[in-house]
Amino acid sequence: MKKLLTIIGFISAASVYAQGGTIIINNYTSYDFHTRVTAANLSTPGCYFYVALDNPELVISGVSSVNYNSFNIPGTYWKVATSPSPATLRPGTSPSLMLGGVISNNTKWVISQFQFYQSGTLLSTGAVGDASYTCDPVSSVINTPQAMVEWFTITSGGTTSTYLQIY
Amino acid sequence: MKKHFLLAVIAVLSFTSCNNEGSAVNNVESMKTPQMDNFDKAFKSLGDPQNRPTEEERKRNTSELSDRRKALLVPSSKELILSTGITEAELTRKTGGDMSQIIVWATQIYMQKSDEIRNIKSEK
Repeated sequence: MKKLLTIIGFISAASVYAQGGTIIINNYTSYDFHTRVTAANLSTPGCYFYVALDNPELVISGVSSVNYNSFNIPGTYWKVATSPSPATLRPGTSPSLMLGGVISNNTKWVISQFQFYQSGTLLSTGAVGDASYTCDPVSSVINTPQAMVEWFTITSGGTTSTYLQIY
Repeated sequence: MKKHFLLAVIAVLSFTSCNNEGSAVNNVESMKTPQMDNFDKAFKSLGDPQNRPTEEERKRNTSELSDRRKALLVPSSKELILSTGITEAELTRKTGGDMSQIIVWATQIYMQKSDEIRNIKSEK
């Protein structure tokens, strides 16, 4: 019985923490917002523990929103590094990247590299992200010719929602 | 044996339920509830000139939304939570009035509802 309770405890703890993977991107402009997002483990020194979207980039067309709960975005491939060795490419469907998977559980979203497009024409590029991420410092708010892009989190207990807003 | 089976079922349920949550919320606009619309509007309003991050807020070494701006999201978050049948008393008891907790809870409800709408659409 005690074992059962312990296991249930672990499972519920895992699913609470797993919510840390939520990222919501709201594009309020009429431009197409293309982005590659990166998550990292902030408590491992050395800056090598990260998961970065390789392909395809996410496209959030004008006046639309997307939300994702982990790296398990259909059709995506991610560069994954958990040690100083070179990153390897893994599909978003690989078990370690799924919600509740070990990598998903130990990383948080940190950066968006982005481009604004209109009718297929590149207008500008930039990056925005968590200001406390020192490995690849970016600011949490950036003004581009097209729009203001802002990155913020709302954290409650072990649950973090990450928002990327394009005004 | 029976115990192990039960555990496996619980484990599978707890993971699959989460796995289905993510993905795009395109094309659900027309079926959103008024509470979902207001929740959207509140987030959008963070970009209004008076609600944009101040110089001081930009300088903080954290990505956490400031309390000033969280407060702008609380009314519509509460409205969304209450629309699911949760009572005001329950809301207060579960969150203790903590702004972050209220907004994160509402965000989860919002994502769930978006998924439901998407599922209804794909069945049609």
